[in-house]
Amino acid sequence: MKKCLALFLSLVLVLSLGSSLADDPPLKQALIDAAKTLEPSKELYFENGLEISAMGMIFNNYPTEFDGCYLWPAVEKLTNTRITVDWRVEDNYSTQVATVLASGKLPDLLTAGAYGVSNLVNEGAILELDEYLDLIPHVVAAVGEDRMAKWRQADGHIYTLPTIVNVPGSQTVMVRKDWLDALGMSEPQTWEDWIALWRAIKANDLNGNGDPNDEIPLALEQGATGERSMASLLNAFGIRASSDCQFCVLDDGTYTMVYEHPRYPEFLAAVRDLYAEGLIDQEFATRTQAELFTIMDSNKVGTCMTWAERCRISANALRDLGDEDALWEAVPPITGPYGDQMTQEREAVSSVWCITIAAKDKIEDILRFFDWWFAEEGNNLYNYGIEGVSYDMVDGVAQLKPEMVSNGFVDYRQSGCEFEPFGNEWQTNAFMQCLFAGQPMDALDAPSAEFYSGLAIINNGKYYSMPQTIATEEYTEYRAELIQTGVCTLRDQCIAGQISVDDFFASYKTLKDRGLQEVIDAGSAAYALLSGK
Amino acid sequence: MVKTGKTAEHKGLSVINSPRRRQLIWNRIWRSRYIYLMILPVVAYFIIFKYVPMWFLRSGFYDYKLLKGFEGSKMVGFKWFERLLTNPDLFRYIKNTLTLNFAALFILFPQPLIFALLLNELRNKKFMKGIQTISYLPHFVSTVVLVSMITTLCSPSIGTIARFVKLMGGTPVNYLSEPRYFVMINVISGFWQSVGWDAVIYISTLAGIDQVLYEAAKIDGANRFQQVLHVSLPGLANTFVLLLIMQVGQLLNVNFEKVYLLQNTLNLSVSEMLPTFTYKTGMESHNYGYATAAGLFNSVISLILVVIANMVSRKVNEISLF
Repeated sequence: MKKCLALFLSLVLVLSLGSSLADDPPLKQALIDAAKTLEPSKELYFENGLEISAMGMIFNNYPTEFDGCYLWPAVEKLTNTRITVDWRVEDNYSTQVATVLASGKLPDLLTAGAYGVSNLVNEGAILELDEYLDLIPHVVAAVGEDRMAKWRQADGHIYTLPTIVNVPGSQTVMVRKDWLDALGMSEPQTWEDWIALWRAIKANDLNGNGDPNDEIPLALEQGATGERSMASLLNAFGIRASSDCQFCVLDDGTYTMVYEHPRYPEFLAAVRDLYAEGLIDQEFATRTQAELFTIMDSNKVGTCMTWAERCRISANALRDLGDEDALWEAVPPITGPYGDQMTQEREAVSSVWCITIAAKDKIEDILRFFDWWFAEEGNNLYNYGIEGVSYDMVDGVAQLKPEMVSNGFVDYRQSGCEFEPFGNEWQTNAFMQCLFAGQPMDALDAPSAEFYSGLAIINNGKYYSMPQTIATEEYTEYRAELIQTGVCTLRDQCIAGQISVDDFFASYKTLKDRGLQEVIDAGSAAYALLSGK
Repeated sequence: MVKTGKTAEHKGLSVINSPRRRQLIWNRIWRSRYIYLMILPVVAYFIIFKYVPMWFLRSGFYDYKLLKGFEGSKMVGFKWFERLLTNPDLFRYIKNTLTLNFAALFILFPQPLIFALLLNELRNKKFMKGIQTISYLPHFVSTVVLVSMITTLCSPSIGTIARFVKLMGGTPVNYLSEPRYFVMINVISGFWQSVGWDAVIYISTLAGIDQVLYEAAKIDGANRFQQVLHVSLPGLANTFVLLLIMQVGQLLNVNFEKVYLLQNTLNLSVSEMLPTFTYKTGMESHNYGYATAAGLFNSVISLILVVIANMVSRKVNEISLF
């Protein structure tokens, strides 16, 4: 019996290994082989070689081995730079950074992640880059004059090498089109329309399982780090919130916390009513992103806001389960009671690498490398791979081969292209080629067309540039105690009816006295410094 | 050996330090070298993970920076202790800590004892072994997995409990976001996970009770219940009390992982404990000085509790750790 079980498990393991090997994208190995035969670059080549060690955070399905994709061998062949990255998973990444700091053995490059760049500055672990900007003109140009403030930290200095995505869309509000049709309703245009739709979803057995009470009109989720649940509704009330939904800029240009916004009391009361009426379900404060995806795929959600890609994935999952008409329609942002309709633009400039004090002696070489990396040769390598293998130049424009984009972003990324954890500037041209998989919009099936619409069409003109969450010392000191377990808790308790709106503001005032006012004041001063006001 | 001891007593420290005495000690160690070898990892564990870290308790008096160490960090005196003691939520943290842990202590701690007694009364050994194995398997489920199971079970949209409640004609509730259910969820899941494993020590103690005592009880006319009451329970008393005192010592730290993972903004009013607050302050805000101060405060309360438990135990039934 035991032998049979062991044999069965071994077979499963072998088959899993076999299937994972068989999943390699079509051009991945060809790219790796081509990378190893590249000639030295004419733009940059370190005669004596350059060794860069790094510790970073990996996500998605990017290959992590040095020769697991074309990128690192190609960089080595072209510039004689050997980059060795110790990739760590996102979970508890900040603890891993803390461990490295405590050990005193720093790599040359370090991604701050949730540990925070400001904390690394306070530790004295990383180098300030302001005086070296003339060594990295291509990086500066990629960031752009108008986005320099987003590159700087709260103290006004630059400490990081960025990654840049010049595409505004990522998430969208979506509605079950087949449910809309079944209700005889059209896409909601006003706040009253939205309320009417949510009430209709709640009142009807739209998933046809015999239970009229298990449809969730508006499913909210916490996002990857528990910060996004309120974004779509805050925006509907005209509150232009930061990515963590904690900060905003008022009409008079004041940077403050969203709770200070004149519309916040009204927002809170309205969301509280939605909860009381059952239009927002009981799990609004506890649902993870993965759990949202599960209930979307379980035919229980009427409307939500999440990654546009879910329009395609979830509709296909539902169709696979037999609901052939299932369709998630990407729609413009929820319109609020005052007609506000907006959504957060994807953060264009994000911090990736900090150069640590361990690399003090070779900082100039590292920066020369990164300047090459952001220049044409490095940037093409990042966006398109290797010419002749994964792309061709057509009329001076890089054209990805069909095999690279036929599966959207999946094969493209698994081949090593747009290696976001390492960062560079992602060209809009490359993005669009992956997005449409080389096909015109009208040739796409309905779920894919909705995905592309949510990402690149339907929200155009509705995006706003998010104010930063400025990591001042005060913010760093009080974030866990007064924000995450303080005011966020009060907000959710108020929405769930555990406390009243008046109680919320009374307790919020107490939190301000305990330090939240210092966070607001420091953030406001830093915003003024960064924006030059 | 006795003679050597008396000689040492009479002749004072010079004899203790004498080469002959040292040789004798060394010989004794060598004779028991495998026993010492066995204990070595445990001693090393305690030195490395329990005693060496005590040196870092002074970071509670610094604005401690990991890379800079004590030399580069600024000394702030009692700043963090003042902040902790003036935190208006501190009383709630202590109350939650004690509530969650005392609930676990009073409800869960006796369960393994009862379970062991019940198992011990089973006459079909195969059935007994089967029950025992099934009952301690949950112990090997990691806390993260356990919490995922609880979350899924309790979900009002996809959870099993919700389906059952609907079948019964009720309305499902999100139990994890209702403060009033938090302690109960914690206790029930703790029971499922620990009762079988924690009973092992009692089962082995029961196996060590002299069978003659049971025979004597039978001859005296004791029925099964009376045998349990007058033979089994007294045989388990010492083990029970020692485990209880040790449990009280850990009282403020047990359940940390599970409580932390089960926390959400809607149950935080009852789920935020001193250890979870300490963890968030240290590992999420990276304020190591403040976290150390909170941790030290937690340890002091634990020490007070264990001393009280030890004192009470010594007075009541003359059993104590120290």
